[in-house]
Amino acid sequence: MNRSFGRLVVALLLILFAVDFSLRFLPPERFTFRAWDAMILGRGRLGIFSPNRTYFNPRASGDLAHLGNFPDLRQFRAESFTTDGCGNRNKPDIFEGRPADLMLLGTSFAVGSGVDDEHNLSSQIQQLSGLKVYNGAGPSVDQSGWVLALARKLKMDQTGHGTIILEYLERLSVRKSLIPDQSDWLGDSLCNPKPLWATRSGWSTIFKNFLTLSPLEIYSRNLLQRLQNDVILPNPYKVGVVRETLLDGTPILFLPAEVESAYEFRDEDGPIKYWAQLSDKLKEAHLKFVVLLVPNKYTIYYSLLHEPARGEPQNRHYLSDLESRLRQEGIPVVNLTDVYMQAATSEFKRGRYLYWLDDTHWSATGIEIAAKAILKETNGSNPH
Amino acid sequence: MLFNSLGFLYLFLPLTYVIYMLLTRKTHRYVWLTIAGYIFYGFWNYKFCFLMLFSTLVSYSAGLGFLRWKDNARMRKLCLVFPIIMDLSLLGFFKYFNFALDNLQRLFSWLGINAQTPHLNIILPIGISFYTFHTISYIVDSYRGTVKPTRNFFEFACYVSLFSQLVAGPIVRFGQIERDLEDIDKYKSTKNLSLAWSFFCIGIIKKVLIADSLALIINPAFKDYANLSTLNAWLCMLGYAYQIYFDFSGYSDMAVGLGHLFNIRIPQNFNSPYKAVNISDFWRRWHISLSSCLRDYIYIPLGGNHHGETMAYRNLMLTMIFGGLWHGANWTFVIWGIYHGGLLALNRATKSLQFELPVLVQRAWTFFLVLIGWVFFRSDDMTMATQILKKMFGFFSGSIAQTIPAQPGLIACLLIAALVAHFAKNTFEVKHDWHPAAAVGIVVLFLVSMLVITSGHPSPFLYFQF
Repeated sequence: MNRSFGRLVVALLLILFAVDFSLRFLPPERFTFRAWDAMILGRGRLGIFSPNRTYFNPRASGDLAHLGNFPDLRQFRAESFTTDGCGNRNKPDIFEGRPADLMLLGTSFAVGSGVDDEHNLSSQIQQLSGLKVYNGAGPSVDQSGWVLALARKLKMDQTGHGTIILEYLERLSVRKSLIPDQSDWLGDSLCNPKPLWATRSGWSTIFKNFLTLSPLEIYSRNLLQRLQNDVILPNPYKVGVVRETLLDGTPILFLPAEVESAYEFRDEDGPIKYWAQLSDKLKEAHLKFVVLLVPNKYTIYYSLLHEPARGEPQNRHYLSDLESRLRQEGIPVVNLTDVYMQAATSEFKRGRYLYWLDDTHWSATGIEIAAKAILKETNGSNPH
Repeated sequence: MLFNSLGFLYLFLPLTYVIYMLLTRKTHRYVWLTIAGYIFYGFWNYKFCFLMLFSTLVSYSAGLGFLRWKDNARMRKLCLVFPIIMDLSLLGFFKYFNFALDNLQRLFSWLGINAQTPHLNIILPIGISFYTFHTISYIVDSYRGTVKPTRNFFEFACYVSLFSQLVAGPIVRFGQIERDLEDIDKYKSTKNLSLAWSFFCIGIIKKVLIADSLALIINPAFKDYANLSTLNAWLCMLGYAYQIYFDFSGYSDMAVGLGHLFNIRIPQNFNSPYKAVNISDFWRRWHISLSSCLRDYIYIPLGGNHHGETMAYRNLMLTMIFGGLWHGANWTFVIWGIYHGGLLALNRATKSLQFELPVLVQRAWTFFLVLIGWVFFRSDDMTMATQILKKMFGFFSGSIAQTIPAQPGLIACLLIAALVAHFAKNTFEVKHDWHPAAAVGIVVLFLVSMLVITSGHPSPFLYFQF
């Protein structure tokens, strides 16, 4: 036993290292709980997702259940996620065929985090109306030059009725003014990216991901989190989400930021200025501009909560104020608050929800309502 | 860089070890270990490497001075006093300057003087208390003639920056590892690989599985100390008593194991302190390297017990106050020092009167006294300390689940920790010649610890802050 114990430990360390090293070659689908985390790896110069990729997870679950370590609250669903050459959530052949009618911009809501390819907002608008919709959403896409270049690539400037819909989520802040976009987005390589391995920066991304992403770390953390259940060990993650109960006793999770934003003073001047500037810029390119105001899950479900921890939200009129200001500026706007309030109550009676219970994002049901509301507002742009 | 981090285990340690073993010449090994120590230290803040280098140069020069002026008492005194003042000035500035200014400000306010003292944005260099003690002990021991100063700069630099003991001890005196440093080129591999890894594995298990689990449960409760019930306050303090022991002794075991990997024998730092039968016994067992330094470099120079009983009490108290302050610039540490000084004095005074109580009762009573002391040590300020003490002795009701989630886990952890701390042999008592079943058990626990480490950010050691 003189040396064998030492050798055993060294061998164990070497095996652990080898396992960690080998697992890093696994595709991210194998160790991510939803599409978003897998698809942002290996992103290109443009959109926020890896271009020309397809992800499928038969047991994806919500971000909040994961964030707060509430495995019992997970709602499993199949999630497919396809990206085009730009790294946006569309089928790769989206640029072929007739010009696009609508382009959707915005946050992870517009991207459709948590829902299948067939149920995200662009798909549902397309299915309901027959319009060709391009999903250009992604939190980092806010450069007007990039939007205009995409619109040209989608031939939207040729039709005279192309519409850009910008989704705005209640809890987020918006930049105060438009960034001058000096980038040349008109190069031949727009949305025609080389594979990662064919460029130096691609290799740098591959190397960085290899170094920083350890599936063994993720598996080990998942194992440890099983013990962090407030019985064996405390659950330190639970402070990362707000857990409430609906009137029928169903648990529902919220992001603390959205709860906080319901009680904070919000200044609506900043977003208006930015949107007006963007609208002017798009008008120059003969594109219409519509703002889609999406309320927080907390705003909609507060009245359906059983003994909520905090009192009545203070700024329930924020989105309505924004809506009025946008109308004054002559910018078309769709505010989902009222329609969502009504639908949340009626769908709740049927056991259906507009947002996932375990996720901060809207569900396919909620998206369908949004799609119908958008179509009602943008009816004029429908060529059919 | 932490011992319980993947960067250390998969990169730093293997590289340092392999290159070290490839080198055959003594000075080459000194140089390599010195470089490794500076890289290890530089991971926190590379700028502070210059501070350590400065301290090393000053103390090394003092050693050369002692070699040169063997019979010149005046120069020897200068070589003793000047470098110690330099070392203590650095420590004083980085660790105590703001504390002193804050207290000066309070004094001014109390006297009604309207004066504003500045508050500097000083970052405490990690491990400064430890390597300052290393260098001072070298200077004093060289002056006393208990060690022969080295002429080889890299031998001394290697001693100061030895990564296994650099940032959280044990405080190793030059004389304790001088022979191993002299023989550093003697072995082409680790003399006792199993012993080295056995110490390291046990240390990491103590730290990751016991200390960190306890910390996970009790730290949130301490944050909400004002709402603790009496039972919760006791559970938290018990948890902390075991946490600090398993954290620090775990670190020391890892340091000893790492030392053995490089054939350097680092001395024992904990000898089952919670088995102590009185408070003097506790201080012979707890953080031995610090308590022996306090004895040899403060208590004895102050006069020890050679100038009558009253002076002995004074010296005990001053030594323990210094010991408290060494842990940090906070009045809670001063009170902790006074508390232990008082207990030691009381123990001394009542030595002849002591009844022969059963050993278990003596151990329990000593542990109880130490536990009360930990209240001051754990508290951020005196308000927190007094609040926790009030909760512990004030019979505040409240359900256990009120502020401590995972109470079954806490109780299980406390039971395991108590069994190991009060009844099991410590790492220096066991033979490390493991029966295969025991070896498999340790390896499995080590694997679990590694998975915990792999699962996220490694938790720093408590003694890093000192």
